[in-house]
Amino acid sequence: MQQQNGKDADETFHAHLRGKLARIVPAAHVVVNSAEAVAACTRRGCYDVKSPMSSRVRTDWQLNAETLARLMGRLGRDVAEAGEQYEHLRRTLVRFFDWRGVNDASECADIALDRLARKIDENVEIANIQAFAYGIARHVLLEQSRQPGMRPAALHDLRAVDVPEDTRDPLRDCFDACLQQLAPDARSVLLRYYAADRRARIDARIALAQDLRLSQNALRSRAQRLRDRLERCTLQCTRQRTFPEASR
Amino acid sequence: MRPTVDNETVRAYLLGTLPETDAARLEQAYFADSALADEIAAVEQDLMDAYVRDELSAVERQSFEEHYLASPVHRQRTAMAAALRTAAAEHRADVAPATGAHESGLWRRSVEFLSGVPTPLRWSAMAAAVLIALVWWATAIAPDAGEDARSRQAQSDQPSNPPTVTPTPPPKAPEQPPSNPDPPIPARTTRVTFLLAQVVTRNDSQQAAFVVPPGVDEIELRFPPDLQLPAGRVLVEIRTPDEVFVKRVPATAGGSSIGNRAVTAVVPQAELPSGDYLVSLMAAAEPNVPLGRYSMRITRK
Repeated sequence: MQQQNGKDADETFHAHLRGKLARIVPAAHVVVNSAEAVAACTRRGCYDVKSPMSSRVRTDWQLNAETLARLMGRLGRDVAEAGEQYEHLRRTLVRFFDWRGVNDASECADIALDRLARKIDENVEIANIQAFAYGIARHVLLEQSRQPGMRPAALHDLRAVDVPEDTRDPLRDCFDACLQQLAPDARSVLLRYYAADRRARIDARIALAQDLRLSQNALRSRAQRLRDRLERCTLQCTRQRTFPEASR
Repeated sequence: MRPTVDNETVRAYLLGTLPETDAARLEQAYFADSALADEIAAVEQDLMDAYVRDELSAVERQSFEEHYLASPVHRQRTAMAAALRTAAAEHRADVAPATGAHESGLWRRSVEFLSGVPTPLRWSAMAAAVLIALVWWATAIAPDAGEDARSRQAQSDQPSNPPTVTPTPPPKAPEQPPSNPDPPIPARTTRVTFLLAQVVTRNDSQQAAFVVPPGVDEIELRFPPDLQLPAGRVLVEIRTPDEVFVKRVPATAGGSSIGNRAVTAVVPQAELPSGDYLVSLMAAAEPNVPLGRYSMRITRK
């Protein structure tokens, strides 16, 4: 019975681990230079298997449940805390790569986490795990920037193209669909929060906060959470429409 | 202790103009404190919103386009900010007839005017308006106040009745104190503003698509703020993609705030049916030489 309760309590974390391993281990098992590996990596778009970024694929070392558990052990005293800290760290890594203009920030964050887990597995002395993760992330970023063709193009370098008459913008379609998926109250809050321009915006937000009996900060947090949700939904939907095969 | 990071530093970081040592310091700080990363994310959203609302300075706008929009993910995110803005504007237009009558006509223009001046001046203007209204009341209404008071007292026993309308004409709208909940409303003109931006890229190929909400009378086309315009009159010409002439209107350059040289043109919405259009800016002296061309698609909700 006790074992059953423990299993229930850890279900979220185990699901998380399964997801993580399902996503990572197959890539680490890929045989070097196999056509399948090249195709898989090319599809994922973050790195080329012939580049330094492919070290995750080439190396003999691979992330497994044991090494991941050691990483989690460094992140928190118990499963819940470790899971939370892991999510915080991954989110921060994604943001770091994103703000540095990396195209596939999630992929690069996972590479950084793999390397962090590897260092822990190799018993490297780590005093501050967040600072250490930042150092790894900078190395991954440097490798990324050295790859040919990875330097992003400025907007004015891009050229306009002709768009067929019947072309529909999938992002806008997805945005509209995701907006409709929000609960009516939430949708109303979001749209009212972002409705006004310039100075009128401040007054409109004060009025909205009063209507909802919320503080300005609480309203801002709520609007930001709703917007994040809308953005995630829209991006996922757009990806599915643009690359239906990859999302299956 | 939590490091203090000011808004300007974060904006410079996101725009790629922060020196590398400062950027590294900021990154170390947000790796140590994920709440700080949340705050930076909030500034990022504000920055995108400011871009799509054309509220960035010319320097910031350039950095935004050269650095931030270099990332396809950031372009997608900014496109979503634009979509959110459009949806919010449509939502506002939908609810305006029911709750937003104060946004039209003279009253709206007064509020817009007041919202463009610094807060202390705005309060002074409001105080002056209240004073004028009080003086007017004392001279025009007060002599009859005793009689009116008796009739009002009789009517106040019936709270569900509409407010009494006195035969004395009310003061003109600009002299009304802004706190008056029922200012006189002149003929209603609802206008929607569309921002014409040259954000047409190889990957995100799209023309500017605008949805005209119901109840809109006029469409204001707003051009990017960093245009180099010649002296003299500037015209805006609208044609269909197969070069059929639709409309030519004068452009207005300026804007009420310093540093904002946005060029705008107003077209009655009825003259722009749903469809694709090419919009050209031209000097009145040289109408055959376009200063800039923009593509847009107008649809109706």
